[in-house]
Amino acid sequence: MVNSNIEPTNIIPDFGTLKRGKLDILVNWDITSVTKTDDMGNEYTEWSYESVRLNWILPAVYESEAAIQAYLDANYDEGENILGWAQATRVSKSSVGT
Amino acid sequence: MATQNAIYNARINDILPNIIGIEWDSSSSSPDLKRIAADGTAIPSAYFNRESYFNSHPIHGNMKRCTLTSAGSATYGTDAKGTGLTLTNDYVMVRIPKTYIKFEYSSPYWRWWISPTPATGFSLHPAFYQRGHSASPVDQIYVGAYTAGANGGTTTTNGTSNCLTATDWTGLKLTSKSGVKNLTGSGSSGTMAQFEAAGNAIGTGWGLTNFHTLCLLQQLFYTEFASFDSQSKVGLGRTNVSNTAAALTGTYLNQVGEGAGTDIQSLLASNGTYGSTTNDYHSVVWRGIENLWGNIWQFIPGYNTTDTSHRILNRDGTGTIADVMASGSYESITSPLPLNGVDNISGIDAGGYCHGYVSAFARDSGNILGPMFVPGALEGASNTYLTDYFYSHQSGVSQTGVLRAGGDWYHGAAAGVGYRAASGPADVNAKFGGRVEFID
Repeated sequence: MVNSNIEPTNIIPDFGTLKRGKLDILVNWDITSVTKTDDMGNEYTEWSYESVRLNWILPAVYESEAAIQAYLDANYDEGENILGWAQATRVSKSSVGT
Repeated sequence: MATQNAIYNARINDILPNIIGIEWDSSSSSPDLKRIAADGTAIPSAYFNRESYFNSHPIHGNMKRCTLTSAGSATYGTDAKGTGLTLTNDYVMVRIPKTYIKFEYSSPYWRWWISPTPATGFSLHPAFYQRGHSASPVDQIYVGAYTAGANGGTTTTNGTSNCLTATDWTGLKLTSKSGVKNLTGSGSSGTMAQFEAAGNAIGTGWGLTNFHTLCLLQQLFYTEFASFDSQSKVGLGRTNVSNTAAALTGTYLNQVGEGAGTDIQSLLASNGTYGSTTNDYHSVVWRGIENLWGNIWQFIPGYNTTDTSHRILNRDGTGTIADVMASGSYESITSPLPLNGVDNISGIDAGGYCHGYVSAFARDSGNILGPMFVPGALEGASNTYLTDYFYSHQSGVSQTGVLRAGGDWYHGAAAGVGYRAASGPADVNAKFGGRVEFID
């Protein structure tokens, strides 16, 4: 489980890694928030979620970061189902049994 | 390049020299770092055996537990974790060998190197000049293997924290020994100044682990693991958000509350490292140093913040370590301003201060802050950038900020080797303690 004070979106591209048509993306799900109290007694919102970093191959040429974000958002849990690929990285022999 | 790769492929650990570095691409949110050789070229990770390389490295491979007399006479065990030593000795320490460093920034890349010997472009780490060694830097620093307990003075149980607190500091000396309760604060007892004085009372060269030593430990850690993410590389530490008490030194607990715990020594690898990435009740140990994060906060003298400046204990060793350093003891950096809640806000704006997961380091034009890992932005998460948390300077409270590091027993994913928080010099808490160092 990942924590952050920043509300996450479903897919966060790591544009700093964009190279030769591939980039890292952070795929997030089960996003929840709670109100917490900091060390000085002040309240703030903390976000908790599952997150997996994937290196993703872009299927086409995109002319802007916004276009890449739009493609990723459109394929989060439909189309290429990026969420499914991310969740599949958590599958291991112990989790599927025999 | 093909030839070079073939050589790497054959026996990379045998041919790599002792100068090694890490490179952070700050344009990426990944906490992973690239290993680099002295000339900045990448070391292929697929052919690099981390444990083998660092266990035989002149710096990391000689980070070993020992017992010290108050005068500094060392006795070593048969391995780095201190097998054969009496770990209930008052001063069980970890030796950190002399380390030369080099820092370079070329946007967006931050590069840090270490070397056990002088080399072009390298300088001896400031930690080796401290506590009276401006003219004759020491060959090694000793850091407490454990967070500090108490010898002498008058102490009593500190509520339900599984710690002790001092009701009279007269004659109290800090310890670094296994199987005891940590000394922490309560009421008005347990300020950074009191802890530093109780460290000084051991003898010449003793005191709390200072800011430069912390920076050295962070750089050595990041270099070994090529990652900022200490909790995924070594262990979560005693950080479960339901925990209500600390573990005793040298033990681990499998519960949220108080208990005597179980001796942790048998869990340590021979290089003195232990941690769990699934159990956040257990303590962590890195190369003999227990609970560098989690369990209790550690006061770190030698770094102050004001509304307008960072104050860094003089790198050349001419400063006097104190909770609030006197003029002449520190170098002042006014740009960038320390993060605060008024005119350099990032992350959660809490009014006079801000807090959040660190996403960038502060960097000044002279690169003084470069090897000091001072947070500069707080837009991250527990799996991105530094992966650790930061509480900033509190602006406008007329207090000079002092530093704590590591986080305590319930800080969860916020904790880590890079977790830092600003406090006021009078701040006292059942979760605030310290760790001794000996530099002589």
